[in-house]
Amino acid sequence: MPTRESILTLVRSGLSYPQIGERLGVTPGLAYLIATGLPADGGDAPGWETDKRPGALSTSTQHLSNPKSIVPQRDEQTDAWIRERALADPALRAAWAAHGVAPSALAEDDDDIIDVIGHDHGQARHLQLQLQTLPGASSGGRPDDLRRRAEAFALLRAKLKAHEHAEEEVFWPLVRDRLPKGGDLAQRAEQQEHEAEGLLAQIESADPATPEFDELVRTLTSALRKHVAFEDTVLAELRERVDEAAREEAGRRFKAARSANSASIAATGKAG
Amino acid sequence: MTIANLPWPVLRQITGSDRTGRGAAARSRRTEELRPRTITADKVVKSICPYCGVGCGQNVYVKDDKVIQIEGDPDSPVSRGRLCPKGAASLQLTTGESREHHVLYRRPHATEWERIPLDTALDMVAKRVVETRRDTWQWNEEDKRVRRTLGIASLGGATLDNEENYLIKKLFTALGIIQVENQARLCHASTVAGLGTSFGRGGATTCLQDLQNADCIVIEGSNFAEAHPVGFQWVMEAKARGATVIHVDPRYTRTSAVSDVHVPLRAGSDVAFLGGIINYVLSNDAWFHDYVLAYTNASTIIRDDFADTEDLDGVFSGLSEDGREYNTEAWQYEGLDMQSAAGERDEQYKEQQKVGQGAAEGSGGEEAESGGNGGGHGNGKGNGSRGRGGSSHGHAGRSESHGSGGAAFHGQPETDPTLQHPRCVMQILKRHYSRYTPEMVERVCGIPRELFDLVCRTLVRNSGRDRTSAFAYAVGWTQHSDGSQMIRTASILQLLLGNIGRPGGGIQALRGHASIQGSTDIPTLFNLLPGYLPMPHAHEHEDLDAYVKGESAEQGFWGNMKAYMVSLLKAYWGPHATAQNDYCFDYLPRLTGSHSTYETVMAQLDGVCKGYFLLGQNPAVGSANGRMQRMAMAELDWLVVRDFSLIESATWWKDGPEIESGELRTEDIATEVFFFPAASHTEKSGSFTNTNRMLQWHWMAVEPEGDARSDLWFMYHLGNKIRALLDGSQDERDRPVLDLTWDYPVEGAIAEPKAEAVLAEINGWDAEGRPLAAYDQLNEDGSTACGCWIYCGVYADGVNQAARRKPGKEQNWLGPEWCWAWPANRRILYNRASADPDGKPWSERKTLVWWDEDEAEWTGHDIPDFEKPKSPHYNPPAGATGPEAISGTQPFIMQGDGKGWLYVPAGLIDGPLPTHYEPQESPVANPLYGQQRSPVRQVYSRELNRYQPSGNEPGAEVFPFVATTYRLTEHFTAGGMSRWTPYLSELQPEFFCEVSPQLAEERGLVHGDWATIITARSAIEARVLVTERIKPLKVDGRTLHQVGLPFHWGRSGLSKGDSANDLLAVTLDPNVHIQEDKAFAVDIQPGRRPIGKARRELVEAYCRRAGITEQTGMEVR
Repeated sequence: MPTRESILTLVRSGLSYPQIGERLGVTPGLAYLIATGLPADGGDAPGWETDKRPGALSTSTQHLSNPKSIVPQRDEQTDAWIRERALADPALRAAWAAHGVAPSALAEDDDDIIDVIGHDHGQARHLQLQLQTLPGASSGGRPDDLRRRAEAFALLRAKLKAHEHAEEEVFWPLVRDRLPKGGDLAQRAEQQEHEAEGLLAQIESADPATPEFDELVRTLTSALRKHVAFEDTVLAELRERVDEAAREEAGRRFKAARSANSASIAATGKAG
Repeated sequence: MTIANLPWPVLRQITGSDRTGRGAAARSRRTEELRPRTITADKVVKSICPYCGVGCGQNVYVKDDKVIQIEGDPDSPVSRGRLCPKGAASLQLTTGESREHHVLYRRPHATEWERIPLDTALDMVAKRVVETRRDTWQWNEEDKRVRRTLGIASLGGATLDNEENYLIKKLFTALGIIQVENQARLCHASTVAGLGTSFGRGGATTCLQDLQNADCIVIEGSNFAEAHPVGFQWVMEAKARGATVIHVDPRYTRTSAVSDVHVPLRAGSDVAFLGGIINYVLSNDAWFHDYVLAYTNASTIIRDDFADTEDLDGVFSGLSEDGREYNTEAWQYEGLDMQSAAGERDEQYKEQQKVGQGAAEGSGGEEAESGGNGGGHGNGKGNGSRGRGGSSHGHAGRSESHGSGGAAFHGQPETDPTLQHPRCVMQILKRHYSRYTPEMVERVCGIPRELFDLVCRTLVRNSGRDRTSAFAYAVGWTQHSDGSQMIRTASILQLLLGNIGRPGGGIQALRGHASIQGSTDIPTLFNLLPGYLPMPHAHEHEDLDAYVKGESAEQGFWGNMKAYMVSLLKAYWGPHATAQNDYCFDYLPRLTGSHSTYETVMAQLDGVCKGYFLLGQNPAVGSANGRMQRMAMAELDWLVVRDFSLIESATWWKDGPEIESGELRTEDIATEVFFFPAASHTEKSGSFTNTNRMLQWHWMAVEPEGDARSDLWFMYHLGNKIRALLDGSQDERDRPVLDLTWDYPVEGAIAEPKAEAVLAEINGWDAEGRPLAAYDQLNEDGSTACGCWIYCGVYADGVNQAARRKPGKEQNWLGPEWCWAWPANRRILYNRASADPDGKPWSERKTLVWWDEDEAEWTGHDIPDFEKPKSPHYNPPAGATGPEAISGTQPFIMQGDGKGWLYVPAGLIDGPLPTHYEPQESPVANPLYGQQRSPVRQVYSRELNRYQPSGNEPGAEVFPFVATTYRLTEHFTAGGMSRWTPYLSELQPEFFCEVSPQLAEERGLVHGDWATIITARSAIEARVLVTERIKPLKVDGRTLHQVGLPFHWGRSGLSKGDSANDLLAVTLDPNVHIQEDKAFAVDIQPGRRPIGKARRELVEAYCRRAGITEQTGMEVR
């Protein structure tokens, strides 16, 4: 019978327990038991800290003493059946065909710039979610998915442009003016927006049927997330330091600037 | 020649290296040649133990298509390879000789079973369903459309797979059968209401493994070590790391034995005990201020017309004239409109009064011929005061719909962050609990002051910024007439101490069945659809929009309810569900009141319900008032029992206690009984949802033998036969059945439906037939299908996520890649609360998830139970709805205000704050209030359900002792899975009662001898176990004795005995209709009970002595 030392020597030399078992003429599980004092099948459930013994594995060991285990997690017949069920439901398909990517209409009755910007963010988030869940070219997206992705991106781009313009015209000047270190905040935001613009331009020229498009969209989503989180902190500060009347006045100007900008974007035909 | 082959041990000893003869030299050849059974196996099939809710992993060893061994799976992060006696005996359970493998049939009035072929039996059952449904069909209740039948009911066990429950609910709902119930009603219904209204979801807030991180664990209402032995290892792990373990229980058990402190208390006094701790925490300013202020509704202001129990001597404002129900409007937040738990008043349970008038009162002339049916069927038995019974308060248990979504909610509540406003929740809370003093705790619970003080100090010391405490409870809390409120009390306490959503914190609702959590998630419960969507009500929900408006919240994730509902309807009715027809919303049968299993039993007695399916459930033993259960079954036209063995619910007509006593005669019983043998967990694939809300897949290891079949098979093929019988019908009534999507792929020689396909339907798909990944992909325009929105993601990417088996050793303690937990694989709920409002962990010692500033997203050890990109500084813009309305500092995302609810303004019907009431039957007069019992508890005055006097009422002294029922390690619920198993029956061979030496002396009870325990319902006998483990308590100045009764026994199986549940009356928690069986009053006498007629005479003599009438116990007070 092999000894603990003889097995540990082989372990140190880099052999696996199945290899050691074969070499020494014992089952791998027995080799493990001799080396570590631990039954490989977990028979005494000793807890995690015993993993520190020489020769002990930090992984599961039951394969060393048990026959092959059966754990199928995919089932082709089920996949085919799901497709069949979906294809046999014209109402489902029609509803999907009519399902647009656009967010629901903006609530226009709030004037507070915090709410106005918050609603814009909500719309952008909705579009980002579409871009995250609709499979792109790199994850097996079908032509219809790619079309929707392109559509969602175009909408997002248009909204962002209008939004950023309005922010530059109204919001950041307000921040500069009214918040301590407002200048720094505005500068940081402008830098973020500048980066986003670069990304938007890159995506615009990318083909939605390529993995490159998906990768750029992912980068954009991440950048927007950080930008929105940053603006959340700015908005929270603004709420504390700027009175409601001023915020509402700014909100009205923001909305005007935004619609002027979106009109101009629409006029130049870029809003796809 | 090896050493072992030398013939004499001594020779081996002197020639070999083992000179001392303590090792190889002493080993015999026989030992040398022994091989484990497992080594001969061809394969190991991964499975999950079918007993309690811990959900231990099992390795099923298979050789030549036979199961040869079952062992624990060391890869499971929950069980780590361990199995308890039951799990270890599951080889015998599944392969033993006690299982039936033939279909059996009992003709009306027959005295014996006969064998009939499986297919014939299934044909017969299909015909019975179609006929009974036709004869009892109801288009309208009064002038409201209900589209249903009350003629058929089902009651399932909680070892059904999720996929099986899904098919049961789907088929029966399409048939218009609404009385679909499950063990989940009897076990943990109050958990759903208690936790759901407090936090937004009705499941345990944490997982078993995380208990190891607790600094203090309070186990109350549970014998954790004996009832969930393998889960208990995490309590021991915590203890090894220095945690203090406190066990609060009437009995000293093996849980107490390894706890640091055992606190004996009077059964049923838990609200007073926990209320006392709340008072301690508030009056010592020991609550976690930052947490409470930010994450709970402590600062919210309540309407000025609200009056507390302090003002009204034990009741809240809004009590109706007859005192049987509350108008909950005044309990609500100031300036806010909320959906109350009962909605508009439910139509009362009028079905009871219809006996003899014919149940069908259809709108269509085609129903006319059945109009007279039912006349003459209802007999006088047991319904002496019909119309009084349940008719006074038949709410449909809407509290349970908060299993995954808070009460509907519109607008922003007013708050006072200084907490000084006299009507803010914090101030109301302080006032409400001010009388729960240590002195009062001592009077009510029998807990000495020093002991109580020790518990308070320990809990407070181990809670706060750097330390966390966990609570674990089981049915010792749930099964009371105020069970929901017991759980609520713990919820309040854990919120005040800042222990929810944090590692080592939380409330673990210990589930006692393999899939009892699953049975409420994918409910076979009358009042719920999958994912806690409420069943529609006749008078309120005429169309889909009215339903959504009435039930959904504008804010939080419950705001997307329409998407969840439409997707469910698409899963049920596929191409037939279109926007034009409201997605077949009209196909759903409507509720008009409560149809819980107990009310169904009364409907059986009254002749309304004529056909009954028992799917792995044994109510003749397991439900309260067993005699009423059996008498009700004797009124049925037909009964289908599916189980492993001939359980008491299958054979009561030939050998039940009422046959013995002469109350029933086999030849007189007209009930047709079908027995179908069931397949075991090793003979079918499917998923169980354990107490961690974790779906764990088990694979079929071998096909079932003989006529044994899974419930998946049974429901699917029954559905096919029913659909074939109805094929070609032009009757509108049959459209939901014929239009139902019912085309699952089958496999194998027995045509077993593929459980994976059912799981895929539960998960849902898009229009391209791709499995959905998460519930935020569900749409309300009919472009997605999903059978249970909270399980959406379990089949993401076409991978059965519940089948994932990455070993626990190879990942963190939460085991995120071991199977899949709802929601969205999050293991600790509300974990946003593990970080402070700014998103930083409260303490380095207690990190779980946090806001990553650089990446601008939530990250951590668990999947954040929060929108990942939502920053801590996010404030919803005005008018935001749905998830957008939840701010970055609101961890309770299913609640309309994102807060943990100390005070429940809507969602419960028996009070916004837990209040101590005495059990329905108690020898103690409520020391806290003039109000003895919950005024709105559900009571039923029937001849078969007499109540006893309580407190100071004359006659109360006839039943002077408090009794409680409980579970043993070696047996399982009503015994169907243990009393037929030789190993387990040998380990616990006989029914017994636990009494203290003092009580034994007082009553002359002898250890090992017999005792008779008597209530107004029955007299049962048990062996006497005299033990110090059950201590007499000093309650309100006098000595009070308690009697412990394990409830597993019945008259069949290898281990036989009387049923403790026969002693009980049916008294229900009004929120969820769970029975009170953990505290009631009894008398106990030495000796065996009388047999035959004399048994009833004894009970009747007790009733006379106590002066019991149909009014007793029905008082509002």
